[in-house]
Amino acid sequence: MNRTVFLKLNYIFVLIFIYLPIFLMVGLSFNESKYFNQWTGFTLQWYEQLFQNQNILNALYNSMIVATVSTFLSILFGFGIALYLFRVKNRFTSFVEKFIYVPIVIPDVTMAAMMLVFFIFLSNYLEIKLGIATTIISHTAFNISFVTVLIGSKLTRKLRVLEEVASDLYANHFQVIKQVTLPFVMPALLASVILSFVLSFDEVVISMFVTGPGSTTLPVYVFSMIKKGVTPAVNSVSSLMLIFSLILVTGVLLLSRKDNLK
Amino acid sequence: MTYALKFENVSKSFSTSDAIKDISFEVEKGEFFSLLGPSGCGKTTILRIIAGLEQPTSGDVYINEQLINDIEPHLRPVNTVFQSYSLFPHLTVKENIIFGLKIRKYDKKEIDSSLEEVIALIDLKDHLKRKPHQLSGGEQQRVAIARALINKPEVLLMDEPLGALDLKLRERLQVEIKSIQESTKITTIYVTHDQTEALAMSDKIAVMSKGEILQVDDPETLYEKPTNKFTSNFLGNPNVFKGVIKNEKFISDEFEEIAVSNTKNGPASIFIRPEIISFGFNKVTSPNVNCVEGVVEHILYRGSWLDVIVSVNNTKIEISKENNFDLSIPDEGEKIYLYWYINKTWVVFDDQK
Repeated sequence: MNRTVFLKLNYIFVLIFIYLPIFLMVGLSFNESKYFNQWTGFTLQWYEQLFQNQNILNALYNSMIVATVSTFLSILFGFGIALYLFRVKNRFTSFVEKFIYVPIVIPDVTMAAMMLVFFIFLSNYLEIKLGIATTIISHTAFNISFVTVLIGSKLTRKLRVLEEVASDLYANHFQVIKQVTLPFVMPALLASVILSFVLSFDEVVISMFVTGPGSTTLPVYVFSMIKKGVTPAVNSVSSLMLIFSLILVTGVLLLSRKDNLK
Repeated sequence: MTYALKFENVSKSFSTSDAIKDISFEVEKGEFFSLLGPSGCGKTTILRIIAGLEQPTSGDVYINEQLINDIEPHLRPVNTVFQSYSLFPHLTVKENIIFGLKIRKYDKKEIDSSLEEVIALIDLKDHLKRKPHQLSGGEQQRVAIARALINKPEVLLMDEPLGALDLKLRERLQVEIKSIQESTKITTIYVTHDQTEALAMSDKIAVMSKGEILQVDDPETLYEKPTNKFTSNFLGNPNVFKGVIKNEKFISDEFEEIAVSNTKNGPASIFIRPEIISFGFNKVTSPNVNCVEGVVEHILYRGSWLDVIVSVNNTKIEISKENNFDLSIPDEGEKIYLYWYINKTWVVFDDQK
């Protein structure tokens, strides 16, 4: 018997395990019947209802705002930190380098509780209301780490040499960044834009803790829908979110492949 | 005298160690000047100080009589060819070459004519539109040279530019670089650990060890008249013996008397280069030569030459002979006589640095 046959069976099993639920959910979102045990015909009505549901549209709008702004902020800060760790090597930066990764391994619930405590504490001194702003701040807090790691992985010795070459070829500090550093890290920069957008857009736990009335994000809204029962509306909104995320993640993969070709 | 580059008592220490100690030297305009030494001897540090990529801890650096200590790297009239080619991966070959001109906002006409000029020297016509990763190592290094050369720097710096290439290609590019340097008369500082490369290409060589320059001379003087033990040992592959010089004789544990042409007395080492030793099957007696008796221990066949290891008085002497076919090769175990000119026995006294 072929030595790889078990590996092949395992592979097929895992594929089914991963993709069957996906196809099931997407398929049922087109089912005319409300009930999952019968197929009565193809329909787009659940999607139509979705786009007429003002709550969902509001949640989508909130999610877009949160994801966009927190992505922008985390790129700004994360790139800054990565550059600092790259340019300055001393005891302090090697300390920072280790601790910047902590948010990646902190459990979501812990992170959420931390942020909530933080905001409540601050509200003693400042006027703070839980809402869009606090959600943006919390998402930025965990996205910075991912951005720092991703961009940091491109800030290598090779780049340092290229920067030296550029300054040897008459480029001043500003020109070095524009002509060499930015093009060199651009794939990682774009990848981290997409990644932090997806991470923020799909985030539930932290958002649930720090969001306020009227600023619910889409995943939080879907979660509250499920509490009332799994309806075709849940299927259709989840399918849309899935497709949206898939498109973005494919973007990341394509970028990293293009980068590897160099 | 007009010099293009001058180091005056330059030192550089890093937090853990001294990279270079109190270095002084001058390079004349148009000279091909090599810094030669084993890895970690500080030669690359000197290059980086000239380029402005490192700051000296103390001392002064001049280019064309101008003190450049405080001038930023991008304002210095020098260009570097780096060890690992280091082409910009996102730019084409052409964009790489004209990078320095574009940064300084030369107009299109000037850029085009400079590009043509440099391509006449370095053949890259077919590659201009390619990206660096589509080129071979040798081609990439040519681009790196063109990229530096196009700026017509006062001093061209080359940091082991051929280190990553295979032997054949290295030899071809040595000839190419040398002829470019001769036709452009550009002052060149060339860093290498490869002695044959330095000997073949340079007008002058500075031999370095442990952060210090031990000797600066033209290749021939350096090879034939090294002033110190390190240089004598580092260049070529000499037979070295430690002993004492007394009344124009070298005396050691192994040898009773080897005639030398030095009149000084004192503890010293003698260096006998393998290629100056001849051998025969009869004793040679002449006032001009030393002759010792030995037994052939090993013959290493190197293709174009032979290394013969002869055991003499409990020690070994290596000789090397061109493989020119009419040479009668002794057998291993055979008794032969080695002889060489007395004035070719190179002496370095222990008190010489």
